This record gives sequence, C-alpha cells and structure tokens, in this order.
Amino acid sequence: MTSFISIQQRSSHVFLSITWLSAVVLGQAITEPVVVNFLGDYCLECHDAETAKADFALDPLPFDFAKPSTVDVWQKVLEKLETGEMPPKKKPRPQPKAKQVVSDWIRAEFAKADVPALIDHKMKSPEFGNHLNHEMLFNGSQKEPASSPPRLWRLSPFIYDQMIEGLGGLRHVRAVHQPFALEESKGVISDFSDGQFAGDATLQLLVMNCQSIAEYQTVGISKRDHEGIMQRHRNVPDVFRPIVESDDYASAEQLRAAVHFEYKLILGREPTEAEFSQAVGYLGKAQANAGRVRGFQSMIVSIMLKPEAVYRLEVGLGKEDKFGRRRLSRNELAFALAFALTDKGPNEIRVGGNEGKTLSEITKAGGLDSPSDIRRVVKQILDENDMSTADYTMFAENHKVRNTRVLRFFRDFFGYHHAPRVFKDENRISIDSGFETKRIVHDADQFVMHIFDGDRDVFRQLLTSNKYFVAYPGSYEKFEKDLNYIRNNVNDANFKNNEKYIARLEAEGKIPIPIEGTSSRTYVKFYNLLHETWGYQTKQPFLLPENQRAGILTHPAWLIAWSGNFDNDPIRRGKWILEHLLAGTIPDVPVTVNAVVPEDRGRSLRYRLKATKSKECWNCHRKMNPLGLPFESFDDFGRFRKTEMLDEMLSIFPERHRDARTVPVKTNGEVADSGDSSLDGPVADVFELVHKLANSTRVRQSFVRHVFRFWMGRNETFEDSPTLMAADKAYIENGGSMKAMIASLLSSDSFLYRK
Amino acid sequence: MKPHKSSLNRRQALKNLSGCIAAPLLMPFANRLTAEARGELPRRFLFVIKSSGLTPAELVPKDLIAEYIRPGEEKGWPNELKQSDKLIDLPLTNRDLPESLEPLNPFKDQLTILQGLSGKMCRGGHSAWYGALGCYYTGNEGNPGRAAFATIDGALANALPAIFPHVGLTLGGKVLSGVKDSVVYPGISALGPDRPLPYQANPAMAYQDLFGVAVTGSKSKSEQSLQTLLLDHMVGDIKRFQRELGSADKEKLNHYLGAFEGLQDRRRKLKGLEAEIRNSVPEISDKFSSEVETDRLESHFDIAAAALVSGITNVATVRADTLDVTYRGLGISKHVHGLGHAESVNGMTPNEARNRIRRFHMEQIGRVAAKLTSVPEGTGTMLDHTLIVYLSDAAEKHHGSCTEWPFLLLGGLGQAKAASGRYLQYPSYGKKGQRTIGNLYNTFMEYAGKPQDQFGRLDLNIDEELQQGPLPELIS
Repeated sequence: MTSFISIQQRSSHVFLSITWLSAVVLGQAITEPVVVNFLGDYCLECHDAETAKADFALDPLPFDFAKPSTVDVWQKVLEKLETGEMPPKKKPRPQPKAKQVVSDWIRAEFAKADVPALIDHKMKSPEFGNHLNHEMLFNGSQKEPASSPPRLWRLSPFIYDQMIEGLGGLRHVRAVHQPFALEESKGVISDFSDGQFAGDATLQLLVMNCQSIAEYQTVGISKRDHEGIMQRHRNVPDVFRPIVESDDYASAEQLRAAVHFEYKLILGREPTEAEFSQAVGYLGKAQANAGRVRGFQSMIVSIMLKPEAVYRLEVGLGKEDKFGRRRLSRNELAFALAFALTDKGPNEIRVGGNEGKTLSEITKAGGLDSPSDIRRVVKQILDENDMSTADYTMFAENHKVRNTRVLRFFRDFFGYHHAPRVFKDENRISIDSGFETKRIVHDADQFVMHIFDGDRDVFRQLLTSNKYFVAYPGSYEKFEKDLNYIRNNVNDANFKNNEKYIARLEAEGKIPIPIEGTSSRTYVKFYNLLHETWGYQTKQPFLLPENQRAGILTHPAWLIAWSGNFDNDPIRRGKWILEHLLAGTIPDVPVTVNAVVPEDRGRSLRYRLKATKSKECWNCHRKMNPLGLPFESFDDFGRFRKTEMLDEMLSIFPERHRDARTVPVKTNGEVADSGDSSLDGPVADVFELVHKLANSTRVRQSFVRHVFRFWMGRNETFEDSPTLMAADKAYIENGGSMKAMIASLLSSDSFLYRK
Repeated sequence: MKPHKSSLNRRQALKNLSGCIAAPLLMPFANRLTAEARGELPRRFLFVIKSSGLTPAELVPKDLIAEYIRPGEEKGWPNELKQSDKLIDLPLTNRDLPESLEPLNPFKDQLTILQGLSGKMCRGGHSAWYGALGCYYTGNEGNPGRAAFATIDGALANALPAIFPHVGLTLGGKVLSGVKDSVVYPGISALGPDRPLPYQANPAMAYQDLFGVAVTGSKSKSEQSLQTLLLDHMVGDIKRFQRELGSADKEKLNHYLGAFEGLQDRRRKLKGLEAEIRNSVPEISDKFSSEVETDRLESHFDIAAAALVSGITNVATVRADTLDVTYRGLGISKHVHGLGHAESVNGMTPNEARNRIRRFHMEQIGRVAAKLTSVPEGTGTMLDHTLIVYLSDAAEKHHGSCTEWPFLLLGGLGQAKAASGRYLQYPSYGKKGQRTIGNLYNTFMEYAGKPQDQFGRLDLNIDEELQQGPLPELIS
C-alpha cells in the first residue's frame, strides 16, 4: 500500500496520480480527497515541493501515520489551521466548516495512531496564546455561545498562605511549608489552571501541614518561648472544645456542629448528610485506633485533604441549558469570584463595609444570579479594596495591598518586579543593587495601582502617564514620621551624614528625602533626580518631565527588568511589546544560533546589533529590534540620556566618566506589520512610540486578551470572542475603566458556563 | 521513538511498578542481603547536574594540558579543549588530576573523564532543559517546554524500581532562578512523556519526605494504623468524588489519587524496615535549615547518599545550582550567571571562581563516594555497583553549543574491576568515529540491564548508525 500521494498539478482542482486511486480502492477513508482538495486550494501555492515556503512542503503528502515524520507534518497543519495562522492574511480564507472537516480528519487519524495533538498541549501554555488569529477574535464572526471547559483549578500558593493566616498564629509556632509550587516566568501569566497539579511532591507536605493544623486546633502545639519556657499555642474553635476537653465521647449534636464547622472553614459549605455520615463513620474507626482526641484530629485532617480543599471546582454543577452548557452552581460561583478578585474565600469577603454581608451569603441568597448583579458586586469589591481608601504604605509592608490580584496581574504582565533579579556588577552600581531596585519596584507598584484606582483611561495612562511616585511612604503623616525618625535616630551609622543632608536641604528651602543613609537615597538617580539636591515632593504622584518619562515602559523598574547585566536589551524589549501589546508571535531562536551581543564597547549598542540584520536573521528581528531600539533613550539603569557612552563600562557615578567618548543616541524605531495600519510606520523616539501604542485599537485589544488570560486562568479560544469583544466595549463605554472590563469578564458566558 | 499518549495515568504506572515487587531489584535493605546471596547485585545512579556549562579544558589531567588545551577565544573566558581526530583513551595512573578534581583522588581508580561526546539534537544556550538528560530539543529561554520522553534518570528510575522511584534535590528552580524553598519543577527530568519529575529544594523537607516515616513512623503501632486508615479513607473519598464529577479534568484527580496511592504503596514497602533505614539516615542538623547555599547543597548530598545507601531509591539527581545562585559560602560574591559571563568578582578571576565551585562539587561527590565505599556489598563495596554522573545542562559552556558535552563518571557500575581510571576523549564533532550523549545514555541503560538502541532523538546531521547502541569503550 502506498503511503504517499503525489500532487502533480497546482490549480484549484487537484489532479491525482494513479497511486492515489489505487490507495482509495484499497480502502483509505472517504474524507481523504476532501482533505487533499482543501490543501490544494489553500496551501499548495506556497507549500508545494518547489516553493516550500518556510521550508515546509505539503507535496508529496504523507499518509503513513506510523511514521514520526508523517505525524510531524500533520501536527503542523493542524496547528496552523486551528489557530488561524494560516492561510496568511492576504490569501483566500477557507470557510470554518471546511476547516472543521480537515481538522476533524487529522484528529481522527491521530487518535488511531495513539498520538496526542501537540496543539492541544501548546494551547494550554500562556506563551502560546497569541497564536490564535487576532482579527478573528475581534471581528464578530464567532456566533456560538461561549463557555469554558469544566475544570479543577489547584489552589495557588497565595490562597493557601491566606488560609493559613486565617487560622491564627500557626505560622509562628510551627513551620508550615508551602506545598504548592507556582513557577514564575518574566512577563508571563503564571497561574494557568492547566499547568497546576497537586501530586506526589505536594502531598507529603500537605499531609504534614494538615496534621499541624489539626494539632493547633485541638491540643495545641508546644514550643519554648524566648525565655525557654514551654508554651502551648492553640486556637481551638468553640465547637471543638466539648470534644477535645471533656473525658466523654461527644454527643451526636456536638459532632454535627464540629463537622459542620470544619466543612464551613475549609470547604466553605455545609456537608451533605452522606458526607456527614462518612465523617462520623471515619471518626469512629479513627478513635478506635488511636484514641478520642487523636482520632478526632485525624477526622479533621481527612476533611482538609479532600480534593475540593486542594482544587477549586469549576465544573458546572448548575442546570444544563439549551446549548448543552452548565452554569456554575451558586457555591462554585462564589468561590470563583472570590478567588478571581482576592486570595480569600467567599466567607471572608464582606461586601459593603465591615457590617456588610459576605460574598457567600450574597450568592446563597440569589444575589449573584444575574450577570448585571455580578458586575455590580465585582465593581463594589474592587472599589472597596482600592488603595485610595487605604494607606499606600501597604506597598512597602509585604503585600497587605488590597486588590492584590490586580497588582499581581500588572506584575505578571509587565514583569517589572523582576528588576531586582537583574544583576548589575557591584562596581557599576556600588550599592547593594538588589535593595535599591526593590525600591523602584515599590514605586512602580504604586504607579500602576494609582492608575487602576482612578479607573479612567487606565490603559492609556499606564502607557503614557508621567505622574510618578518616588519614595512615597503613603501619606503626609507617614512622611513626617519617617523624617522625624531620621532626624532623631542618633544610633544610625549615618546619623551625622543624615543631619548634614537635612540641614543643607532645609537651608535651601527644600524638603529632604525621607530615607536614611546617603547610599540608599542615591536610588532616586534612576529617575535622573540628583539625590543630593533634589527637593522631595510630599504630594505624590508628581510630574516628571514629559520629555523624560511616559508610562510604565519608561519606568526604571521596567527598563531594568528588561535589561542585561551590562547593557539594554532592545531585542527582548521589542519582543515584549510585540507579544504583549501587538498580539504578535515570534518563533524561538534557532538551535544553531549562538545569540550573543559582541562585546565591542567602542560602538553603540544599536550598531553592535547589526548582525541581526543579516538575511537569515532579519525576518524575525525586524519584528523586534525596531520596537526596542527607541528605548536606547535610557541607559541600563533606566536613566534618561541623550548621549551614549563608549569604550568604558557605564556606572552610575558620572564623575568616573568625565573624559569618556560619547555619541548621540539614535532614538528612531518602527512599528512594522502590526496588523493595525494606523500603527505601522516609523517613530522618531520612544515617546512617539508609546503614544501611538496607547492610541491603537489593536494594542488595547491585545491588552484585553491578556486580562482575559489572567482572570480566566487559561488562553482564549475562538468561542471566547464575544466575551473579549464585550470586555473591550465595557472598557471603552465606561471611560477606559479596567474595573468595568474585569466585571464584564467575570459576568461573561465564558466565566459562568461550562461545557 | 514513537510519541506516547499523553494521558497522565499515574495509577497505571503504579500498577506497573507494583508488578515488579516480585523482582529481585526492588530491594530495600533487608532484602538486599538475600539477593546478594543469590548473586544478584543492586545498581544505582547519582546524577549531579550543574548549570552554566562544565568546562572541558578544566578536566584535563595536568600532564596533558600543554598538548590538549588552547586559550579561549575571548579574553577572560575559559580555555578550550583542542579538537581531536582520533579516540584518546589514556589511563589515569601516574597522572595528576586537574586541580578542581583533586578531591576525587581517593577514587581515581574508578573515575572516567569523558570528553568529546556531542548533543546537538538538544537546545543550546542557558539550558537544554529535558534535553540534557533526555536527548531531544525542547524549551526556550524561560521555559522547559514539553517533556516528550523520559530522561535518563527517569528511564533508570523505571528500570530500577524502589520505594522512591526517583529522588530529586535542588538549590533552585528553573535554570534562571535562584534558591527556592519547597517543591519545584526545574524542567530537567521526566519519568515519561508529560511526566516531569519534582525536586525538593528544602533539605529539611526532603529529609522529612524520605526518612520521616522511618524516623517517626514506629512511634506507636496505633499511629501507623491511623495513617493507613487515613490514606485508605482518602483514596475511597477521591474515587467517590471522581465518579460524581464524571469526566471533568480527570487527569488532575488521577494525579491526586495517584499521590495517595503512592503514599500507601511506600508505607507498605517501608513497613518493618524502619530500623535499618534509620541506621543510614543522616544526622539532622542546623545545616539542613541553613540559608547558606553551600550548607544546603551539602545537606542535599547527605540526603542523596543516605537515600542510596538505605536502598529506598536507586536513582537520585542533585541539581547542584541554577544561574541565580551565589556561592557565598565559598567566598564568591557573584552569581553563577555572572561568572558564566566572565564578569569580575572580588579577588579572583571568574574562571578561578568557577574552579572553586567545581572543586566544592567534587568535595561533595567525594563524600558520597566515601560513604558508598564504607559499605561492603557483594565482593566489594557499594561504590562498585554505583555510577555517579557529573554534567551540566548547558553542555560545555555558559551558552552551550552542545558540540561537546563533558562528563565525569565515578563508580564501578558496569565495568569489570578496572585497574585504573581513564581519560577518554572521543573524536570531535564532524570527525570520523564521533559519538553522542545518546550513546552514553544507551550505555547507562545497558548497565541497568535494559540495553537499547536509541535514546531520545537522533542528531539528524550525523550518521544514524554511529548513534545506535552504547559506547563500546564503556562496555566491558
């Protein structure tokens, strides 16, 4: 039996050789000619044996799925078909139904050969989301009602931490180890439901933690205090006391109360009768084995280890509708919303102030049954957890930030919080760079959250605003307190210096920076502020020169996060913009390439990248370099500059480079083939670039796609198109409100329905 | 190799493992003595994998340096190994090991310095991810990509079943990260398609995971039976839950269920062996909860050694560092990434710093080897039936090209009792007689009693035949 079909003629109807006919006669599936015709119509022009664009040829077409090389070909075809990446824009596009036949056929063949479709695995990964055709997502062609696949979403380490906090002081008494791993990649949304598992590695830790919790809630944990005296730490719920502290076995009512309590605490709901019986049954056996109290502890542990306590349920336990979709049950919805907006369960979230009802209570009473109700409550929760109604010092105090999830999105999306991880040689920066860069991350956190709180024109402001925070402790009161502390802290090693500094500035009628120690104050240099003479702004955010700063992409935190150890990184910055703002994709660096920038410091960085202009490289680099090069207006510490220093290694000490050779910085760049013709074209500098990006529909829509991914915990599919479009619309119609965008997403069919 | 269906069937895998209970190779300590009496000997592997490349030039015995090495292309970067047209196979007797390998002197007789293998079927750069131990291209700058096949440590774990199929210990997470404190998936080992292996970064936790049952387990019989009761109850509970949910996200629940069944399984196997295992358990000390990187690494090596000696595992991998790790305990103030880029560091050249780190690794490997030689086994010691493999996931340099991939092999496994150690350098890439890391891993599989023709993927640019089967020079 032949395994190849030779396509001999290129035209809209394909003529097939005798070998094909005999293959059909020998019993190959009837859909094959349809598939062959389809490929002939839409693919062969560029991918025949002669042209073989991108080194990919569909002629001869292989059909022996036992061969890995055959499978490879069809994996590629399926991928390009299902993401809509092929045929390319200017070529005729097939009807969705015709595509479906081909993709179904390929999947059937894969199933027969026991081979997974690689595209399925790829689409689970956040890096792959952009491969879905952008135009098709926003042109309204998708008419099917949206839904998500039913799923279990493992708890994030943040939710777990929050739960442990909620139990009282357990963490101070005995180490509770984080059982859930969540890997972070710069600029990538980390918590995708598909990627998170609770398996072998987590279980051992989980069991240990649960046993600690059970002890803490019953007999307590003994630990010596700092005076060597043994103390017992416990936080025993009232309903446990009769069981743990009396010598008698518990009564039925007492048991019921205890089981209900633990279910409520851990799973946020009441147990069913069956579950209650199971718990009591287990309790009996456990107590027979190990005694009254130990057996009770074990029963508590058994509740804490239930899969529901480890995985959030988003299966769709509600009623099925006429489209075969199931809505999330009220309980599922309460949890889904709670964890979308916070790290707390719905029993812990009060809506409408401290006297308000919990999210659980609201949901149970039917208060979230309609999408408009959901939108209202979501907006209310976001408003009530604004930083503007709290103290900005929460930023510096280890994430007591409200709307933490929103901050996490910005960090995942922009990646600026990685700045401390980019190592700059000590000689160049001389202060502990990790510490200083942490300060600029706080400044960036405040920048983004302030804009979010203001909730007007959010996206545009993120990209263009020059209202920055620098060393702002959160309020005027806090500033005064900090400054007074520095004035009076005679024990500080830098006290004399601090005294002089404060005196000098006040003599000039300026306000001193409320930071102890000269070397710590130097970090304001990253903003082109002279730490020795800059008059601190007590009212923040304040304006930095608009020809120096515009938006988060010109913030030292973002610039440093996306820089190398010695230089800027125009290529990665360009790639970031391409992938995050232009919904673009770029293939991986080819294996054969050793992508290293030449060390020759006698030339500008722009010049040193010229190797990327060679024929084999430019095809990909033209999509990245021209986007990243305008950021050469900043050095790799994020300082604005008009000239670039040559020969020497740049440090933040200008006095070291007085005689250095410099060249003027070339700031031009280009947006090429973005998919938005109003966007394409040259840009004179980074400011023109960010303003153009901020005004572009495509860029805004790309942002919407990433917001979707974060809050849905998965990549978008074509079915989600109405959801994306509605979220975009909600944003625009509410004056550029990201809160409205989030509310729209969390009340969408994609969020509420499972199929 | 044909790709497999990617459904995560942990329970099936477990059933396969359980099927081996009767096999003599599943031998916790007590059984080992009887097996030995029957003439079957254990086989065990320890992989130590470092980041930022293993410098070939620094592995050359002192007397051969002049002939085999030339200066690096760029100033400040390490020296390079000269290309070779022919196979070089020299004994290490009467040769001095290079300075950073000196801690291995007591075991020189069982050391093979292996150079010249290529791995160009893998991704170069900061890390080949699963490719380094798996022989295939995967991943990108920040991500491991998909685990397409078992890596060699995973394949060996499958071939040499034990209570803990594989023990993974690490300082960091993925290659660009720094020191971590819990379970991580560094993306360098896999048990099979889509089955990445977890590593434990916290030594105290690893200790608890591996030896906790043995150390605290026999506190009381009622405790034991309570744990069993709990696990059985949970298995029932999860199965019930699965039935209620139908097909939704089956894989995740299977994973969770598999974890419980795995725990049950391990407890059953450990039963009655607690006393023996406790003999091998390392002292738990402050070192285990230290924040200092070198302390942690030492603790990890203690744990790996104990796991192997006690027989609760036959395959362990220690991921010695990641690029954001700084060896402060060695007086080095720059992280590995910086050293790899030949950045300056206090009081020494970057190369000196790298040598110091390598020497520290050798000291740790030496400690493990010493423990293994102190336990008699068969007609020799445990080290005779062990192979310690040292390599980097970035092949030969910080941004590896994979054109040459150096290895250190220590131990007697698979070899007839050698008279001396060896310096073995294969012909360079593109030369006649060249070999790949695929050949090496075929060799390891043969040592484990499961010879095979091909490991992972082939380098499509060189002769297929050369890549089949083991390295004949390492099969005696």
